[in-house]
Amino acid sequence: MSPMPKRLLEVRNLRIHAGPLEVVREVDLELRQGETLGIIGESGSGKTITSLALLRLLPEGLRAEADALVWRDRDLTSLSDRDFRPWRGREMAMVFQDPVGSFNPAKSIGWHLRTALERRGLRGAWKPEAEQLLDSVGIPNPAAVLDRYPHQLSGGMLQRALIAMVVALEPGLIVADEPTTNLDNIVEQQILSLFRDLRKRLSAAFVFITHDIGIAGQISDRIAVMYAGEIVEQGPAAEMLAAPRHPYTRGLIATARALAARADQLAEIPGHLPGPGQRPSGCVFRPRCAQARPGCEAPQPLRDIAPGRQMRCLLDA
Amino acid sequence: MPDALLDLQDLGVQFPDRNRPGGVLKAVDGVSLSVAPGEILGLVGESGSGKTTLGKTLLRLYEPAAGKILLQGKDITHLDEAALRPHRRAMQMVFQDPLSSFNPRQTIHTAIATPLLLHGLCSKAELPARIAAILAEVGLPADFAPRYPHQMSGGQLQRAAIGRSLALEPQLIVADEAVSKLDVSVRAQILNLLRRLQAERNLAMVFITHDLHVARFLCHRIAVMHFGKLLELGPTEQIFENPTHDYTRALIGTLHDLPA
Repeated sequence: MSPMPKRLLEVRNLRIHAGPLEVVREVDLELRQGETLGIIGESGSGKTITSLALLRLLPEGLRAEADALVWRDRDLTSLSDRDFRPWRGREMAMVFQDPVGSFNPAKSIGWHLRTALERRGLRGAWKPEAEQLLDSVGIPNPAAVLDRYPHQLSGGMLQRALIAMVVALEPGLIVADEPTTNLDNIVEQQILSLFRDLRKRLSAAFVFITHDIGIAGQISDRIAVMYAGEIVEQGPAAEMLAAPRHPYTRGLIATARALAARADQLAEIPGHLPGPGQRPSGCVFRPRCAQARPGCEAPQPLRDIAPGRQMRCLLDA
Repeated sequence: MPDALLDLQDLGVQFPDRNRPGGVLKAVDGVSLSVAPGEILGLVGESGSGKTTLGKTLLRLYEPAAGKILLQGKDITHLDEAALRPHRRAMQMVFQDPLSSFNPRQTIHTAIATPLLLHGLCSKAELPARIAAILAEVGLPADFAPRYPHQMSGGQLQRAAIGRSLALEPQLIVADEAVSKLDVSVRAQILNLLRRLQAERNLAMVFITHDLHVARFLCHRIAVMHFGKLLELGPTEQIFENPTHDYTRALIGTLHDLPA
């Protein structure tokens, strides 16, 4: 048996507050070198703000706390925002859904790549490496693209350029938040295969955030499912898809399978997601759960159900 | 096709090309297709393929530059607004974002009542019962009528939007990415609803989507659009199992089922 890859990231009991409201609670995550963690969730599940909290990019009004946030044996919770700044980009970098916002519209693609390479410590001739980076993310004619401006590239090409910029920094953690959601199907698959290629090439760990369980299944080693601000189930991707345990995960997968099988009727999860102020006490999925029973009104801890597998439900407890 | 509910013949739509002064962009270029009563026709393609423009043009929300639109055999391509009104009843639209398709200051009651009264389909006294029946058909309790759009979830509001489109008892609904913005756990509810309405009301639909899983689930036939042109049109199974065009093959190739 090969040795377990080194643990890069450990998050314990991450909470995010919006004023008095707790919008994300009790998030525990772990990530090893070379590993991709897929975080699945619907709008309002807290998947995006969880990842923003890791990079200390939370918007005004949101506040994160954690018992521990350990990156390569160093607990970052004690770092001030100012002291954290050098870590962002160099150690942890993010690819957003909309790449446009990550570029300065008045600067060329070459300027962005040069800035990233200099930040990494490169001095002197930057163009050969910048061209090589663009080539490695599948951008044709890289020398010409260095002179282009962000608005002159298509959405798919700009997303590739952003990925090249992130790769230039050689971070240990790359967080990608719905990086293919705004792209057309064919380009989406191209970007997904680029991510698969990067996983093999780089020693970085990845967090891949998506609402699409099929995409998470294609790209992740492990999957965490978030619902209404909590992780409700997490574990190895193949196991989670083959044998989901939490009723919410089971509902999502049953729907996806019925859709693919062109069933006469899709498995439905009744009701809708609770808004941030409307979370029920106890199990947050309880009002929509066909298997709710006495006991569900009590808070559910995330408990171990198999090696590397956890869920927040009292079924089979 | 004599029995067609909707028949598009060589339809073309043009817009001025911003990048070439005096030039035109052929958003829809020579599209011919028909929709039978009760049929769900999927319009798939990537952004910029012209699928939304085609949907809006067949509803006469855009002026066609060429070709004909026949609704129940009647040429409506160039009818003026007054002459078009009786035909508008037969065709309704459901949009991607239900929140922006409602007036935020109007209750759901008002939103559904307005077209009913405008078309003289219902007296004021009959309104509450009629609206309750419409809401029930789309799976909403009658006590949702006095609510405002912001007081409802995305799925509830999309149900209301579908209800409003049904109020005029149309024969055809153009649904433009009608489930794309909904949460995954809510999307199945709306897809089941659309399928049930098609079966119970023999409702025809032009279902515009970029989601091939959804298209395969819901549609009887699929039309593939690319750069304004209709590339391929056929029964859903045939398009997915035996696509003839390279582009369709590439598009279908992006479809990934969950590993078993």
